[in-house]
Amino acid sequence: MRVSANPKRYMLNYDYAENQHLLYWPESVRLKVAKNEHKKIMQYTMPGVKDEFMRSPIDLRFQETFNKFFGQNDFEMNQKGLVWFIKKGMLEATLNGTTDMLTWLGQGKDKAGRPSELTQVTMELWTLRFELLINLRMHAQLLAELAAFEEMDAPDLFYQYSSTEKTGSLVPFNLRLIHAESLRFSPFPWKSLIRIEQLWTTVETIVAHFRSKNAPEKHISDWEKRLDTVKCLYVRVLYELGEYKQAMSFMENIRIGMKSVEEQVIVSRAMMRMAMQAGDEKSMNIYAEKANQYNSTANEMVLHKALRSIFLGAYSHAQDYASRLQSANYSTPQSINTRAIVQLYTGNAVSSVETISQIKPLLAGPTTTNLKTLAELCYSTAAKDELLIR
Amino acid sequence: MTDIQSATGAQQLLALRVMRLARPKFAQVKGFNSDPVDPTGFSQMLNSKICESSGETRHDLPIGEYLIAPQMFENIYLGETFTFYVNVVNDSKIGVVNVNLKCELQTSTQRVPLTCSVQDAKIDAGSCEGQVISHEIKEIGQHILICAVNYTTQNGENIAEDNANQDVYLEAQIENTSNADMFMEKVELEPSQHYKVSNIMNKDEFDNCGSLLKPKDVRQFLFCLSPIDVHNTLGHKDLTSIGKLDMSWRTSMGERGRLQTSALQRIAPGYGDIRLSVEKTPSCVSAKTPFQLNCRLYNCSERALDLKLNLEQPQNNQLIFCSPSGVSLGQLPPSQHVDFNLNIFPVSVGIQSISGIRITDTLSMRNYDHDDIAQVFVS
Repeated sequence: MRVSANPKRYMLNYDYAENQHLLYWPESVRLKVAKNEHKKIMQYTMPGVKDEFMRSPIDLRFQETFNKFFGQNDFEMNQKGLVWFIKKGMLEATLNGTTDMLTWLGQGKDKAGRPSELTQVTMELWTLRFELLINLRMHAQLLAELAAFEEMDAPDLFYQYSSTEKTGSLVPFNLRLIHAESLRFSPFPWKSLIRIEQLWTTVETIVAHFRSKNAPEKHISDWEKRLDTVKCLYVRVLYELGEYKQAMSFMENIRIGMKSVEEQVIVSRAMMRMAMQAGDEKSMNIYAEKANQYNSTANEMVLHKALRSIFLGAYSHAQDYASRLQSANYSTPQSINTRAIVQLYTGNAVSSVETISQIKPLLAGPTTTNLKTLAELCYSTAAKDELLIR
Repeated sequence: MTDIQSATGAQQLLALRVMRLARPKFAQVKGFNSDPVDPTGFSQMLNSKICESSGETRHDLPIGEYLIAPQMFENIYLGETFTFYVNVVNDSKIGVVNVNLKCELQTSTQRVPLTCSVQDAKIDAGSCEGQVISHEIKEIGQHILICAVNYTTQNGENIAEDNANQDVYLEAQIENTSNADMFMEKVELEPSQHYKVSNIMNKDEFDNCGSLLKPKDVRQFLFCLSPIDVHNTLGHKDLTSIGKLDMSWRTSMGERGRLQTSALQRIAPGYGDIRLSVEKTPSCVSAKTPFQLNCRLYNCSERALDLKLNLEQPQNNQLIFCSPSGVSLGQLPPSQHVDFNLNIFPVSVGIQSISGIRITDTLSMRNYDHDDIAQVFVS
């Protein structure tokens, strides 16, 4: 594979020297043991694409474009293809692109368990691939292909194992996040918390290490941002495992520790919604109050007040708030969607369909689902079909 | 959503659509966290694309911002309110008049008519007429919603009781038998007129959240009921009714439920004909220093008693009565009481129990023994 040294914005082959602090990782016990044994270089990590999941279907209209980007082993062109398809939101096609690129790098179909060269590019490609698999909810494939990376502590996953010039980990931090969360999709979802706790501890150690070495402020702040991300991951996994109260308790600690007021408001509102979803009125009121302290008149806050009124069953109040947002020309998809829901609960199903139809383009997911549900309630079958086609 | 079509074989002009209006929920988000300083830039790009296509502003937070209308009928639990949207849709090309909607909820015991506002309505072709109807679920078991429309063409506890002294302790075990997390908003004991109640509660560690009860969880609530008229213990027969347990809760998105029990009964302690109450006694006394015990004797029977106080020295001789034995307390009418004092001389140290008080009704020649009526610590 031809690898260009030209810097681009999206680079799987970024410069090592510029990002060395981001690649720092404490040496694993396995690496230390391997180094002490002074044996010849071995390969421990042998990933490969699982053939039973080889290709995802993509829109035929874009097949030609796909062939243009991924017709042959040309790193620059292939990377451009990845960017192009991600920007188009065509994640399946991007996934197929990673399959082709990994195949050319000797880690494709039937290559799992066979030696191949582990480089920064292959590791970044695997990371992107796993991110895509998570977003496409292809969890079985994610777990199958991630298994080759074991506990991310193999000696060959460290630069210093085979190089005298470079030190640090070949494992991108994103891959560590995915690896920690991945067990959530396994039959033992609670074990993901153990991995996240280990990751949390290691990142804390790294932050302390950089501080003790008087590293540049940017390096410390980069790792602090990563620490915050791990904490958020922990809370999200806790919440998704149904541990509402623990998730709220950890989230409160994160919220208090935030330096940015804007972030505090966003998290306060998220906690308010979490409380609403759980049915916890006390918590809902506490976090509504906290978010309100910063900016009570912001449209986002008015929207949250409408949500609180829905929680309390005070639909007429919710309608008042929704009207205020409409008057203020605040027409985000979230506000329009909320207004439509309020109209439904106040007995105006037809108006709610008209309202939700104002979201343009209609987004896949909740708004489309709502439109279908509402149209089914008050439109004839023919009229509903016509509306959905439009 | 349920679509009710005509029961007859004939083609109908109107279609009845019914949707349960359980509270809307926040739609699930494709949650993922990415490296905020990813050197490739791919994560940020992927993140912003996912946000753009889903409309959500963040994917690293556990919850999204979009409400989603109810998709299923789902179970409803006793005490919750069943709310639904019923809509009459004119699926035809001609208008109809005199549209009357009738909704009933049939349970195993009764058929409850629900108030419908769609009466004598006119529905044009392609239009619809509907309303939101609510009904509190007060029965368990299957409920059947029956909707009918006629028109003219133009052409949704275990109670254990414990008692000590005058106070009654009520321990209520509340179990969440539903499949959803439940936040207990209120668990109160509405006392009967003879009692006042105090709630004995333990505070949660993380006080920012409400009282969570997960599915199949059981939480115990303890209440202390004290008679309002402490001295009116003779009227204990009226004190069997202790009150009603009233609880309300919320589930996801504030869906509310409420239950109130019927009046809870206690088994009144049987005092017999007379009841001896220790009104005042020291908790700690010094050895070989006399102390006084103030007692009150109630006539709990329905006849007058002629009472005599006898004191029987305990065999262990650790507390010695210094008051005369065989003293007459006089005649005591029903529901009345008489006070008397005893002087006691403690001999041995330790916790000593006061026993040996014998009351005799000279009219019926019945003896009433009172042992272990109080304890004192002798030091």
